[in-house]
Amino acid sequence: MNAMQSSPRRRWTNLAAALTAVAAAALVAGVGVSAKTHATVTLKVLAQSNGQGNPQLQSVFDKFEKANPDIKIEATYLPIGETYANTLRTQLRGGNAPDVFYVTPGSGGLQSLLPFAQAGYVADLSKRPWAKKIPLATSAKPLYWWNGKLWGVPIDVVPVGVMYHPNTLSSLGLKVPSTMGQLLSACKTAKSKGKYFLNVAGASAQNAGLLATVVAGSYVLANDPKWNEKRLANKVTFAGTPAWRTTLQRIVDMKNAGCFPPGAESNDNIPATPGFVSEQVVGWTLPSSITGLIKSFNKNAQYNFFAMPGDKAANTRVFSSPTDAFAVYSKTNVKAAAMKFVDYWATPAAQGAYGKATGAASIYQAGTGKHLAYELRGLAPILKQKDKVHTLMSVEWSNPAVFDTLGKDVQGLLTGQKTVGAVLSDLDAAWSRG
Amino acid sequence: MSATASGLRSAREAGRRRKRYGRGAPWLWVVPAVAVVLAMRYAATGAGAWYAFTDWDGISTHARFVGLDNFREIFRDPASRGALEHTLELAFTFVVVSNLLGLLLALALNRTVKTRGLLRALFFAPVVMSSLAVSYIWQFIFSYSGPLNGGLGRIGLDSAKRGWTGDPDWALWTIFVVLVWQFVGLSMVMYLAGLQGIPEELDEASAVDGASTWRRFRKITLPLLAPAITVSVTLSTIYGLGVFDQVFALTGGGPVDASETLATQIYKQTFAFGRFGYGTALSLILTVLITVLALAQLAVLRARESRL
Repeated sequence: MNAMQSSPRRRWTNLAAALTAVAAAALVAGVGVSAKTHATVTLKVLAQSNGQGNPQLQSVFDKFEKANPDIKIEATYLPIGETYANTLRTQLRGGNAPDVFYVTPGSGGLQSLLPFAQAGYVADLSKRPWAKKIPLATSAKPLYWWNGKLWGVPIDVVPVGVMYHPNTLSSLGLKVPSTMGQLLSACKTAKSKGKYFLNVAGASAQNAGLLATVVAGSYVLANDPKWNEKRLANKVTFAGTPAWRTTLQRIVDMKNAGCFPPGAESNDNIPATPGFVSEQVVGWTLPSSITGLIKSFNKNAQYNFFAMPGDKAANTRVFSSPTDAFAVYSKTNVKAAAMKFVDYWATPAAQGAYGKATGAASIYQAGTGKHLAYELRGLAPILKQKDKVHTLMSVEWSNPAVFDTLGKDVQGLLTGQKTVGAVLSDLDAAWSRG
Repeated sequence: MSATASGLRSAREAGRRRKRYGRGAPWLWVVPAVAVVLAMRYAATGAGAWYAFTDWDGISTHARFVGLDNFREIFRDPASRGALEHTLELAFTFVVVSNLLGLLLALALNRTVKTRGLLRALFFAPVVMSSLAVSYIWQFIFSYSGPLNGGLGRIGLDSAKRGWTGDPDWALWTIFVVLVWQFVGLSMVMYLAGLQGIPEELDEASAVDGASTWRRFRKITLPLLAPAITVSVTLSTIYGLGVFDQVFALTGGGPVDASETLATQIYKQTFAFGRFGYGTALSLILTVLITVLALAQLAVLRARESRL
């Protein structure tokens, strides 16, 4: 029998093979059609993490993906601080930056927006439909606008104050202090009852610096709301401003009144946390965006915020600033998707969802004092008084070393290594190095 | 006989090859490797060193040439001068103490103890641990509510309790303790290797001749340990001068620069403040310091070895 001759079995086999080939071709074509219909663009986003990733940001990214099925977000989270800033800077210099990345406004930090804009790394957003409508406080505009263009989208407004345990405060027979004198007196009372009134992570320049900045709000800015502008124009100095001297003296007074727990000067943020979340310490100066994280450590604890008071109740000021933002890489290959992403973040819905998750406020809510996170109820009345609300001073400072010096020297005040006068000289010296 | 013949044959072939390709031929084989090392290590480092003479901020497209300004600022700035002093202080005490303890441990665990294998492993274990992980554990030990203060409280020394890493008088020494704790095992292993190479007969003969333990150690063990001393002291000097992880994790260089070293200062200036030019200038100084000290030490110890 000829091997080439066709047998019924071979014919069936050939037919099956042909059908399989046709089916496979159809499948491939189908996939092709399907892929064409649902072509997705991958948007690389670099953002800061708070512990393990950033579930609060991720929840908004998920909502964005749901609303934009053609865009897939590939998010990378890095610890905020030097790790984040240096990775981003290296990627920008190397030409392989993410399409969208987290920035802080102004120029006072390593991941600050304006130096990136000046170096040509971020895209102009001033033509976006929301650019001129988004309710950015007048004092915050110079932190986002440069050379007549908008360079980032603010994603929240972060009020900063003293986060505290209301139940612990009342169990000590205390009320929220409305003057610095009352605060110092509350410190003595709390200590006499085995608790401490105020926490500080003295070894963290960020937290120690934040404490000093918050006190400065109710002294320096209460006295001269334009102090930052004058410092930027070199019309004033730290050493030449009596209110700065009083600010630092009040931190020494707090130390002497026993406000801080023992060993506070040697604690970084992590060792400082258990004392606060276990209610051994009543309050801690923190940005409200950290509320969600703090609540996760002790779900039974109740929290509220109060504004750091000045010598008189009328001097009390609060910082509430759009300190978190996203910027678009100027050389991104997926500019349309990146613009959709920032457009989404400019909506009240996205900002509201993010604020709800973190404890910060949406930029649309902050100025009204309404619809704030429950933990911010203590700050609501002062947030409505526009003349008492300022943008965080340090984001406008000339270089990152100024705030670092402030934090480091506050630790020096706590250990006794520094005098108030020496701290003021150090701050002016750090400013001039910028 | 045949081995000799084969050897002669090989020598003749080698001679022929030399004639054919010239004496420089073997060096040609080294050229690619040397070129790669020069390009990847020395040329890249040299190019990086150029930034020490600029004010580059790590993000701008252009770096401005500032001459020796960065170096002048380093020697004017109390924080940088302090970092240099702390680096030298820490390195010197670390080299002395870790080598003395390492030698003592090696002598104790060389022959006599039955459980020496286990004890050697226990003392060596910290060497293989991550410096950062170890430092974070020690940070907890040194914290105000940590076990060190707990122990002091239990023995009635409440007045001695403090936040050790935040105390300007103690911060540098907390780093020193962790460094010694982690490095002493490596030093011990180097001395043990040296001790294993000393013939037992020498020691036994001098003991029979009536030499005391101290005299035997002084006149036999120590001179024969000279190569191990050279290696251990040189390595610990390099390690001590470049210490970073422990400082970064334990104190962050604080409080107020009280435990700042050159390595942490380089990191802060470069990566925290974005002063890449200044940070590179500090790096150059640290490189020169380590090179000069290590080479000088090596020369002195080698000379001593040959005298012994």
